[in-house]
Amino acid sequence: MLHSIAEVHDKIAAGASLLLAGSEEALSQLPRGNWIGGTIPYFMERNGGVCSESQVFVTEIPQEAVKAHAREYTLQDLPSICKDAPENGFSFIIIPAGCSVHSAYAEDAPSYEGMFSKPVVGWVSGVHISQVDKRRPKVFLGPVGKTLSESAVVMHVALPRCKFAQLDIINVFEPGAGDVITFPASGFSACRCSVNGKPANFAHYISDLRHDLRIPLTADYNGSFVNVSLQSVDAANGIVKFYAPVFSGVEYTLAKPIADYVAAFESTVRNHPVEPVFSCNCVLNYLHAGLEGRRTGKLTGPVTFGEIAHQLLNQTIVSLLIRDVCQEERRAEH
Amino acid sequence: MQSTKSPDSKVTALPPITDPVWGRLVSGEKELTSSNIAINLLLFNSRLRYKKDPSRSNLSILILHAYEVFKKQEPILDDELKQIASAVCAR
Repeated sequence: MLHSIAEVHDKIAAGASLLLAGSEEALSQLPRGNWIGGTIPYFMERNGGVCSESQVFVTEIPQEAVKAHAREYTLQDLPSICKDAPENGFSFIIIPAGCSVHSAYAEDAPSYEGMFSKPVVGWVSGVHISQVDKRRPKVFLGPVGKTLSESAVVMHVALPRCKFAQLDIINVFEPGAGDVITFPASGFSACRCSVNGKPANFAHYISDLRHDLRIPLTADYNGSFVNVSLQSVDAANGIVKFYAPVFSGVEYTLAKPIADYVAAFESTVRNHPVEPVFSCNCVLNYLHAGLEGRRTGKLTGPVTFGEIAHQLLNQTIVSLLIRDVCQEERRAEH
Repeated sequence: MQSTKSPDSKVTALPPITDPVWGRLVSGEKELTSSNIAINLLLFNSRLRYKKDPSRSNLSILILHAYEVFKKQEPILDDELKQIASAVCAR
């Protein structure tokens, strides 16, 4: 939940291990300690979405954690993130938007050694919408008091045997019934594509459809729907930019249009029954669903420039749950 | 494979890595319905990589990785284990 800088100061001084989100001004005022943080001024709070430059959103590492170790990951050592992760637990990552680590993780994470066997959860830091392209998103490494814009920070958290970290995603979008779109190359932008097997220019295709850019491309990953949000369409130069990479070989469709984005979003989150240890939500959902002042049920956390549940996602809510598998097993046996 | 409990309770063991079901899973020959995001991302990415390189050596790498992920996720898998068990039994 959101706290004043003084309150967060006290928690750090008391030795808590923390995952923080806040403006650069707010996070810069915090002392050294076992915490990592990322810049963003938007949050989902109990009372609704809020923009605050002076408060900090705090997620405390669960009491049952055996160990919580924070470190920096450069472009070179990022692929070893899962190898470095504890055997049982989770790794919490924050990456500054727009840097080389962001694009590397987005494109390569699915092929990192150990990916999907150890949970990697987190978010992409950003800035106030009015400051996009004017200020750089940052991350903070609390133990050494470092502010970074070209590295990721990670908190590796070890859990005891009976506790199990599970990731979950909530996506209001689902694949549409329209054209099947594929791309010849992976990346954050595309010129060429195939539409139902026929070569096309993706920018011209999107322009001709007069497509609502709030509606992402979506792919069906064995029943989990993964979005790629559309950033801009330059029809004159024939280029479309994305907020996450498209991958060659993956079949995309434009997501089913949603008549009322706000209503669809509210009904989806209202039905979410559990309270996660951590959740984050995409800034595009925040803006398009008008979440400022609106409640998102039990799902509170930073509003982000990208969500991470193993791999980079867009326009999605990501949650981290800690389950007591020993207790569940005992219940099942009775 | 040991399925040690009644049909209604949780199946407690995965088939060994040598079982052909793993090859069928990662190649996409065997469908598996899951709400587990790790399993879904794993299977999708494995099948994509298999499609690009269907060699035996690549299949072995994909099987090893898939087995590791299922082993890790085993404590919270239930329906998935039953689907795998029924595929093994159906042979």
